[in-house]
Parts: sequence; C-alpha cells; structure tokens
Amino acid sequence: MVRFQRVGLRYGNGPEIFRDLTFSLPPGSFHFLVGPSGAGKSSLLKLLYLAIRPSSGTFSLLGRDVASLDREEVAMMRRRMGVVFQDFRLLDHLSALDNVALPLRVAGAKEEQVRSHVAELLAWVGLADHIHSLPATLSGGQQQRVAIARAVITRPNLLLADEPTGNVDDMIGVRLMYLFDELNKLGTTVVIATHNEGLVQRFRHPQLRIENRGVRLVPPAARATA
Amino acid sequence: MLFRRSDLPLDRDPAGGFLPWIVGLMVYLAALALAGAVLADGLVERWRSDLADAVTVQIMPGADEQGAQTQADRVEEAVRFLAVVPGVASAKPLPQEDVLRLLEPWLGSGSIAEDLPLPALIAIELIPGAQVDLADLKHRLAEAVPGAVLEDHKPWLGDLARLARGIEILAIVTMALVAFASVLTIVFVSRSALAQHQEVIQVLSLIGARDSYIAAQLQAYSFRLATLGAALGVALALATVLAGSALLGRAETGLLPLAQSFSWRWLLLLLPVPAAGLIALATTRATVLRQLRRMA
Ligand SMILES: Nc1ncnc2c1ncn2[C@@H]1O[C@H](COP(=O)(O)OP(=O)(O)O)[C@@H](O)[C@H]1O
Ligand SMILES: [Mg+2]
Repeated sequence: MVRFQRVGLRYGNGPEIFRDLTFSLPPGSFHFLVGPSGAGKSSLLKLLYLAIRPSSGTFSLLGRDVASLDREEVAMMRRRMGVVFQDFRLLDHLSALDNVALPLRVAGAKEEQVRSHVAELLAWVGLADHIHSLPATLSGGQQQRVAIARAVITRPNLLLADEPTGNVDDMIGVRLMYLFDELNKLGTTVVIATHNEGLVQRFRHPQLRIENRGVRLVPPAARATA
Repeated sequence: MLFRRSDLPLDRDPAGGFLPWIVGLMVYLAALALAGAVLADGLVERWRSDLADAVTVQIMPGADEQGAQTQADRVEEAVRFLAVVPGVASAKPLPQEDVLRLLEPWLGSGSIAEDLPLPALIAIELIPGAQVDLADLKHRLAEAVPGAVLEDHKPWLGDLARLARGIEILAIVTMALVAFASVLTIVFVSRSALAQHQEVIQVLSLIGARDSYIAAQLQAYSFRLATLGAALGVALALATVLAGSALLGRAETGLLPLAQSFSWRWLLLLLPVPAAGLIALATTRATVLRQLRRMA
C-alpha cells in the first residue's frame, strides 16, 4: 500500500525533517503515527497525500511510484484517499452537507446518491441536526466530525488523519475511532497521527513512532492488565 | 457545465464586480463602430441600386437671359442630343412638379418655390452594361447645349463605398482591440480570483479535483460576467443607434432611412454577446490551467 525507500525531507533550506526514511504499510493495516510535537507527523502525512514531495529518495503509493505521477494521476490517486486535516480545511461558505459531499461531487457522482449518502453519514457522526449549518456556526468538535465525514465519504483505500480526535471529548473520540475501525475492517488502510496516549492504549494498533528523523515500528500497546 | 453549483464563493470577488462594466463599456464602443459599418454598408448598397445606372442632366436656369433659347427649348435640344448617343436607353425630362417635390425638404411646399428659377432635370437610363464614356459625354453635351450639366453618380458612389470600407476597417480594428483588452482584463480577473480562493482551490485539489474541474468553476463565473457585460453594452449601443436615428429621422426624412436599411446585418450587433462569453470562457480556462500547473 505504502512503501518508503530512503526518503529525505526538508523544507527549503531548513533542517532535515526525515533522513533515509524507510518503512512500508501493508494493505488493510491500521497504524498510529506518534511522536512529540514538531517531530514530523503532519509532514509525513503530507508526503502521503502528495501535498509535498520528498527532497530525496522516493516512495510508492497504491502500487505507483509517486515520482512518476502527472497531475491527472495525482488527482485520481487522491480520490482513493481520505484525509482529515489537522486544521480541518472545511470550506466556510458551504454547509456541512455540501462540505462532506465535495469529494463525491468532485469525482462526478450522481446528485441523488450524494444527498442521501451524505445525510446518513452526518447522522452517524452525530450531526443530523446540523446538516445545513455553515462550519462557522459549529463547535470545534463538530467541525472536526464534518472533516472526518468528508474524509471517509468515498470509502477510501487509504485514510490519513491528522490528530482527528484532538478537539472532541473522549466519548466522541472513541466513537470516531470505531468509525475508523469499521472502515479498516472493510479494507481501508488507516494511518492516524495522534498524541492521545489514551487512544493508543485503548485501541491496540501498531505504532509508527517518529524518532531521530526516521520512524520505528512499535507493536500494539500491551494491555494494561496483561 | 456552465450553470453548475459553485464550490468557490466567487460572488464575493471584488475584482469580478467590475468585469461586467469594463466589458460592457468596451462592447458598447465596439458595437457602435459595428453599427457605423453596418449603416454605411446599407446606405452604399441602397444608393448604388438606386443610382448605379442613373445619370441626370441639369439644365440650368438663368441662361435664358444670355441666350435666345428658353429653358424648355434647351431641354428639348438636350433630349434630342442624348437620344442618339450609343448606350443611352432613354432620356426623359422630369416633370417640374417632381423637381419641386425633391426640393421640398429645403424650400417647403409654398408657392415661393414655383417662382424660383429652378434647374430642369432629364433622367437618362443607360443600357445595362453599356460602356459609356460619361466624362466625354458631359463635355460634348455642355458644348452642344448651353447650361447643360451631366451629373454622373459613379465617382461619388465610389467615394462613398471607400468611406464605407474605411468605416468597416475601423470597426474591425475596434473589435480586435476590444477583444484584446477583454482578454487582458479577464486574465487579470481570473488570476485575482485564483489568488483570492487559493485555499479553497487547494482543498478541492487535495480531495481529488482535476484541474479542469477547478477551471470549469471559474470559467462559468467569468462567462456569466462577460456575457452580462456584453449584453449591457449591446443594449446601450442599440439604444444609442435608435435614439440617433430618431433624431436624424426627424431632421432629414429620406436621407438616412434607418428603418429601410434594416437587414440581417443588424444581427451582427448581437455578435459581441456570444463572442465575449466565449472569449471569457477560453481565456479563463487557459489562465487557470496554466496557473494551477505553476502553483504545484
Ligand atoms: N511548511 C513548512 N515550512 C517550513 N517548515 C515546516 C513546514 N511545515 C512544518 N515545518 C517544520 O517541520 C517540522 C515538523 O513539523 P510537523 O510535520 O508539523 O510536525 P508534527 O505534526 O509532528 O507536530 C517542524 O519543525 C516544523 O516547524
Ligand atoms: Mg502536526
């Protein structure tokens, strides 16, 4: 699904964020991406959703070497991914429904399917009463759930989420994690950047831990009562 | 493609707000130039069909005092002279009432006109296609009949045609300049819309929108604005032409019969509307696609 080979990354002339980054994620896997703030969690996800390119080395995604993709192919690749951005990136002038519908519409889906599908998902994430609300009228946690709904509406092959439970209380955080688990069971490969230790402990998935400008694969957290 | 729901909040663009006005103003000028060309063309055509083979001879009054003959005698003499000229089909004196009627707009219909010394007119019809050396004929006629002046319309019809051609070229140049200026304006507006909505566009791109999808949104937007502006400009130009012809019509009935010179050519005045729309569409598309490739 994802295979990094000696990937290096730096922003402009800044310090190296990654050096010789080598790892791979098998299809259908579920990983937490952990590390202290500023370690490069968001940067690694940006590489994965093709917003930035490696300064050195290369990687493959969904079976394609990303260096070889043209703009059209990048767009097609992104349609097979869902991304929850750390800052949500909702479109302010569109309702929750239209925001969540966007990936479907961009991909040319039929309008009848879009509406019912989107309303159903918004209900699932607890926003049934806010379908027509603009993002600005929603709380941070509600906006985050809109962002998550937008990321999963297409049932992507690869789901990338940047601190997706940062703004919601634990109850909802857990509910969202179940949503990700559910998608994962349907075959979606999931990578979730988080520094919520509670979630990492509770949902025992392997971790990609960013250390020394590289990543270390850590097996699932042991049960506290083991 | 053109009336789809928009993902970009383009209606709030400050740069877009003035696009219809600029396009409208430019289209107004272009449409006026076009109207001038159509009008001139129509006039030339009408006058040509009326006058092409028409030659008139004026027998000037006043010569009566110098010579022994009366004006009527000289008309008869001129008719006799002309009748035998090769290429002339007929030469008929115009009844004096007709001459008076021709002069009515200037002199009024009172009895003063009847007392004035007026030229007598002889209408000559040429055999269609006949090559008659009118300059030579004019010379010989003047020698044979005192006070006879042959009026050939061909030279000034030629001048008029050249003038019409000039106006046509002017109209084409104006249209080209207006199209060019429109393209520049639309490039500017498209770029400013792109910059204004860079974040939204980036999100669209990150969730899998093709460049052409993003371009389509901006295309629809500038198509609407440019079409609106062009419609405005054309409407104003038509109003101007109609107002102008009403004024002229009151002053000189018969000289600028706009209504009579109506033809399919007036439909040309509508041309700027689809043209502006298509230019806006193509320009925005090209600009957006180029900028998106550059941004990545
Ligand atoms: N666009 C950028 N330009 C320059 N430096 C950046 C940019 N984005 C992130 N960085 C730097 O890269 C490092 C990693 O940042 P980030 O990937 O956001 O870490 P995390 O998400 O783990 O907190 C930080 O030092 C940050 O300052
Ligand atoms: Mg981050």
